[in-house]
Amino acid sequence: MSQSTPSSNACPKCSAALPSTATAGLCPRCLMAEAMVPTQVEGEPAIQLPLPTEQIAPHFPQLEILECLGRGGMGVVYKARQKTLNRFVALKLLAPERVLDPHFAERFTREAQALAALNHPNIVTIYDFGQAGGFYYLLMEFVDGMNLRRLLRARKFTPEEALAIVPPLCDALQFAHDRGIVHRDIKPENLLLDKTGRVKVADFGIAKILGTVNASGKAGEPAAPENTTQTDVGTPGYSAPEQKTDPQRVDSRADVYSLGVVFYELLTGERPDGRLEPPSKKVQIDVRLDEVVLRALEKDPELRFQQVSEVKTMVETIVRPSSNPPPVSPAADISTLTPRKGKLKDMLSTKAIIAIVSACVLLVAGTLAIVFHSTTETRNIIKIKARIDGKDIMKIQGNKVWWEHEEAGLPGDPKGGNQPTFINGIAWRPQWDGSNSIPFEALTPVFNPKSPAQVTFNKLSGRGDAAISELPTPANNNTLSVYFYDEEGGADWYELSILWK
Amino acid sequence: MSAEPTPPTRCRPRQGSLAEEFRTTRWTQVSRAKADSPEGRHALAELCNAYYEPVAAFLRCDLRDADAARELAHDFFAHMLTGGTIAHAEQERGRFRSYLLGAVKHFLSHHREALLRLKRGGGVENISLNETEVPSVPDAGVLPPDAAFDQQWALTVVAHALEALQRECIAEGRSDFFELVKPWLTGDAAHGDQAALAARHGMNANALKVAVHRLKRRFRQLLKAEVAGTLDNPGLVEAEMRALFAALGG
Repeated sequence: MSQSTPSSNACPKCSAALPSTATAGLCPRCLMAEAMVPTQVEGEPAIQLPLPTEQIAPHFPQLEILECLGRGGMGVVYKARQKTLNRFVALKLLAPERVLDPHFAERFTREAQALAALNHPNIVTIYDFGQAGGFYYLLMEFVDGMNLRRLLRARKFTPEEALAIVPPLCDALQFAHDRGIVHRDIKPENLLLDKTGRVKVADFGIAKILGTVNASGKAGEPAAPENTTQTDVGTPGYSAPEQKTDPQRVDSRADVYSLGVVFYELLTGERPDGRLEPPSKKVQIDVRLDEVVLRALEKDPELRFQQVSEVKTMVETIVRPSSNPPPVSPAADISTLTPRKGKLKDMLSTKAIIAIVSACVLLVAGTLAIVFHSTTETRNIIKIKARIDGKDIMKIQGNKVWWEHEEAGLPGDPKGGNQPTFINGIAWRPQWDGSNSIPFEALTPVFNPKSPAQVTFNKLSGRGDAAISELPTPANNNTLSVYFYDEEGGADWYELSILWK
Repeated sequence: MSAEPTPPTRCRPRQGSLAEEFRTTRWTQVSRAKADSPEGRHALAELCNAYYEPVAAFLRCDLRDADAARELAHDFFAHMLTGGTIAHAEQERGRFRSYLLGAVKHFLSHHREALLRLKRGGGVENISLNETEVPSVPDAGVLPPDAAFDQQWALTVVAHALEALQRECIAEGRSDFFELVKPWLTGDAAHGDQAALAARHGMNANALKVAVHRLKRRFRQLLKAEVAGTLDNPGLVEAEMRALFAALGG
């Protein structure tokens, strides 16, 4: 474009001709380009998990999103409360990058419906599923406990404990198999143990939903390794050999194999390697159990147990009931329990499982305090309720909380409305001293996150913005800054919680 | 922050976006209104007032005569506002931009005939290439008239959104802030270090970051509202924005 008029300059950024006055000296093309950058500017969820809970909450008005429970290969799980039913639920958002198939939506619905029909005490129930905010989600039963991986890391299981877990697991798997659903990804991370001692299998059939199981393709043709993803082949170490070599032929016997791996790991503390040493050589158990474990671990599905229920039958046969069971106290020191014939059946009772879980708490309370997400235990949390008019910044450092005010009414000031700020329920009327308030110095627990990444923030109410504006770093003396912005007339109450590890 | 902690004036509530107030009419109101209804005509008058420049740009490109273009634009709008062309081109009703372009072309073709008749009758007009008042488009002679129209349209849309944003800031007593921060509307890399700027003006760096973010978000909202105001179906805003951006590409 030739430039023949005196008013033309070129934008340094995009080289478009600049008009003289219309857009306040700014390049209109750049203005428009910048304004067209989608989503992030609006504060809509980016397609990156995990998201801060306040970005998820608008898409689930029926839920109160509480905290992020964890992140797995397939997505992120949040703890939430269903407002109408007043119960806790787990909300799983499926990571969009895992949706590999164009016909995902249709299959998702079909599979999710099948899963929702799996109503069994040892299976994590699906309550609802759908699409919101650009994600596919599953609304599930919230299990107040922890997964077997964490328990395994915390300490070794005794054989009794292992044997207590396997039969209900078999029940769950058999129930699903009878309804044509194969889990395909049985591993300790997907097996939950709740506080009442109940085993629950989670994430049934997720692999199939995600379309990583080859729906088409010729039978007998091995999947090329470069075309498969982790879920195609299950999880390395737990998936049956045919999941890699012959995915089209995968059936319920793959779950038998994975169960075998878990069983082996529970008994010995290690996963089976190439040599496949019988468990009785590693720990003191009934040698007949070797047979069960090794048969489940047969490479050829034809040689394994053909039904999961057979595993349970075998285990229960080996562990014969006694007529005089000794009492098991929940506070019993687990390490004194040794395998004795005739006493094992008691170990299979729910009481024993409760003993396992509570013993875990007793023995490794330190580790578990971090790992458990329980509402009844104390944890590192600050709950703040404040009345905001205009702009304010709250700072949190160690045991101190104070306001650095910016604009409009002061929190806690009579001129600003004379409302206190509540810190963990304690009312505080900050006195103002120069530009800052006199701090609140009784914060318990003391705010000392291990790293900036260990701080999570939930805004529970408030019509404007509240967000972390600065994370605690050594540079700022580990001070957390929370920024409030209430731009409407008058003031509003803001509630938020800050958790840290 | 003052030594004496007296609370400054409270933030005033925003009375709905000023862009919305400025253009409460919508193309939907015009396109569905009956030709003779006062509401329809009023709505159309407002829109025409707002989108005068693209028509002028088109005519300048086509006629190669700034004076003649201005006169014709005036005649065209007068003609439109007296109910002349409301009933024109049903298929163009989705977008005011397409509608207006169609209408001005239609008007022009009739006018050419009249011009020709006039010329044959005598009275030679002086054709001047001095473009004394070129508001925006740098070289109208090089672009085809349709492209000039679209480009000026896009420019007008952006200008309106920016003006609306500025008006809002002024109404909130933040005109200084607007002047300070507006370069960031064209991108983060545009004007250097926000932290340094904040320090220089005694502002909290994080507060500045949040405020810039909000201003950009508001600009985007106003821009979308401006575009939506010219569409029958607001769901087509994104597509229209892409088209306008392409028109600005030159």
